[in-house]
Amino acid sequence: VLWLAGLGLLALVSPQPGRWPPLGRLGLGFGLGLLAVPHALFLASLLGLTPGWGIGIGVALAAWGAAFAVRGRTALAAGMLARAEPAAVRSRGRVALEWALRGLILASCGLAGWLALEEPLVEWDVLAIWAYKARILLGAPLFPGDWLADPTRAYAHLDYPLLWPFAMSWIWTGAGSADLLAVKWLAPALLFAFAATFHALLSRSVDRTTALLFTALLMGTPMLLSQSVRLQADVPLAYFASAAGALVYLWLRGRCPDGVRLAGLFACGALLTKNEGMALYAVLGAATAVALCFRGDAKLRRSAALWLLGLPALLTSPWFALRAGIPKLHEDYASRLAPPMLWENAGRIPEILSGALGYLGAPQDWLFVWPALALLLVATAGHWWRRPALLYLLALAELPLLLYVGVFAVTPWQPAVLMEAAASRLLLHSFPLQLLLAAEIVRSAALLPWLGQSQGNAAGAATPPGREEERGPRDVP
Amino acid sequence: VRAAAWITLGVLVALSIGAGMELTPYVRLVRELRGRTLAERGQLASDPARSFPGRAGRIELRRRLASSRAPEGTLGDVWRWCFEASRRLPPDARVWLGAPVASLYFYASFFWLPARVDVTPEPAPIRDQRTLSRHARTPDRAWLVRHGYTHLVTRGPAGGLRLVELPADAS
Repeated sequence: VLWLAGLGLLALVSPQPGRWPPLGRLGLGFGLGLLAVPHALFLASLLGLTPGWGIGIGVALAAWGAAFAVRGRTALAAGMLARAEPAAVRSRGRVALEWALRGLILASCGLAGWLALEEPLVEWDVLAIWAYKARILLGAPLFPGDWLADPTRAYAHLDYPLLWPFAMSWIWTGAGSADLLAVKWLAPALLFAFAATFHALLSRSVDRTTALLFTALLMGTPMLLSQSVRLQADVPLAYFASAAGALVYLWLRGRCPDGVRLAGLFACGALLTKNEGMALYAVLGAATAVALCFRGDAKLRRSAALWLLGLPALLTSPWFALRAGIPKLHEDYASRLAPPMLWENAGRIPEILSGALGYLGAPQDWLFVWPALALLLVATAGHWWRRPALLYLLALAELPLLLYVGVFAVTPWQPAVLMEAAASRLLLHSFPLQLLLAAEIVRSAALLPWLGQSQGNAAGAATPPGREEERGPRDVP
Repeated sequence: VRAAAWITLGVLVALSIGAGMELTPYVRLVRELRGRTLAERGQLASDPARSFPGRAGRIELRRRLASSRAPEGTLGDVWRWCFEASRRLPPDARVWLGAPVASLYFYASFFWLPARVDVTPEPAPIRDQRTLSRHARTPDRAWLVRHGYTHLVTRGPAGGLRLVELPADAS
C-alpha cells in the first residue's frame, strides 16, 4: 500500500515519470508512500481516528484518482510503464564490473534486510522513542489524548515528529498486532528504496558505472546498514533529506524538470521524521536561495517558492501546530545555537573536532570513506571551487556537519558523551550527499576516464530545467 | 591525470571490497539467531557484546567491550525479562517500578502497554538514568494498593527482577 500510494503520488506530481528508470520509480514511490500514508494517519489521528486499512488504501486511491484526472489515462500508462533506456555498448570488463557492483548492492541490502527480519525490535532508542509512540497511536488517537504532555515520558522525546511511529503503526495495522518482527519489514523495504532512489538520482548526472560504484559504496557502508537493521529514524531522515537535496541540485542544473516538485515532498518527509530535519531543511532552503539569487530566472524562483516553501509549509503546519503545544522537556538546540552561546562555548570545538576524527575514521562504521572524501576534496579544490554547481552541492553536504559541530559545542552535556551516543548517526544524515558530491567531482574532473568521462563534461551550473534532454549532458559554466 | 585516475579507481574498488568483507558478520549473526525463540533472539540482539549492530557508531562502548570493562548481558537480560513479563500482565494493570533502572523503565513502558508503568508519585520529567534516579520513589505497598497499583517490580534476594501481584484494595 505504501508503494501504491507513493507511485500514485509520483504519477500525479511528475509530468513525465517515464524519465525515471523503472527501479528508480519504485524507489521514489516508496519514499513518497512513506510520507503520504503515515502523514494521512497522523491527520486522521488528529481527527480522532486510529490507524486503519481504509486510510492507507484511501490515500492510494486518491493519489491514483488525482493522477488519472490530471494526467489522463494514456500519458499515465506511458509514463508509469515506460521501460529503461537500452544501455550503450560497453566493454566486457565494464559490464563485469557493473554486475559485480549490482551483486554487492543486492548482497548488502539483502543480508541487512534478512538480519532485520531475524531479530526483533531491540534497540532501546527505537523502542523508547519511536515504537513506544507507535504502540500508543495504534490504540488511541492523538486527539483527545494527554500522553504528549506527560513529563514522566520525557525520555521518549515527545516533541519529535511522528512520521516514523505512524509508519510502524501502519505495519502493525497490517500485522494485526504490535508484532516485534513484522514491523522490521520497513528495514529491507527502505534499504532497497534507498538504493534504487540514490542510483536513479546519480544516473541523472553521471554514467551508469559511476552511479553503480557510488550506490554500492553507499549501500555497503556498515553504519547505514546497521542503523537500517535497527530501524533507527536516522535512515529515513537521511533518505528524505538527501533525496530532497539531490533533486534540487539536479533541477538547478537542468537535469530533472520535476526535481523541485519531488524535492518539496521529500523535504516534508525530512521535516516530519526527526527534529534534525528542520536543520537540514534550513540548509537546503538557504543554499537554494543563494543559488537562485545568482540566477535571473523569475520562473525558477516562483517554482522554488511554491514547491520548496509553500508545499512544506502547508503539509507540515498541522504537525508544527501540535508540536507548539507539547512541553519542551529537553534542551532546545535551535535556541542554544545563537551566536553568543556559540561564542561562549567555542573553547570546546577543538575537543569536538579531535573526537570527531575518531568517529569519521572508524573503519567498522564507515570503512575509510570519510578520509577518502576529505582527500578527494583537498586534491580537487582547484577544480570545484570555480564551479557553482559543485559549490552548491558542497554547501548541502558540509553545512549540516558544521551545524552539528555547533550542537556538540552548546550541549549542556559533556560533548564526548553526546558524541558517543549521536555523532555517527548524525553523520548519516549528510552521508548520501557526500557521496553524490564525490561522484560529481569524479565525473566533473574526469577522474575515471575509462568510463567515458572527459573534462568537456565538467560540472558547471546552469542549464534551464527541462531543456537538458534536448541538449544532452553538458554543463554551462 | 592518469595517476589520479588509477588512484581514484583503486580507492573505489578497495572501498567496495571492504564493504563486501564487512557483510560476513551479518551472515554469522543471522545463523546465530535462526532457530531460537523470539525471547532468545531479543536477548541476544539487544546485548551489544554479542550483537554488532548494537555497537555501531559507539567507539567508546567498543573500547570498553574490548577491554572487558562493560557488563555483558545486562541489557539483553532486561529486554527478555520485560518481554516475558508482558505475557503475564493484564492490559488494565498498573505497575510500580521499584527498581529505578532506565533500561527497565524504557523497555517496560513499551512492552507492557496498554498497562501503565510508574516510578514517581508526582509527575516529574524523566529523561535518562540521572533524572530517573533523582525522582524515583518506592512507596510502601499499602500506598500502592490504595492508589490502584496492581503490580510491583522489585529486586529478589539474588538481585534478579520480580513482578509481584499486589492485593486488590479492600476499601
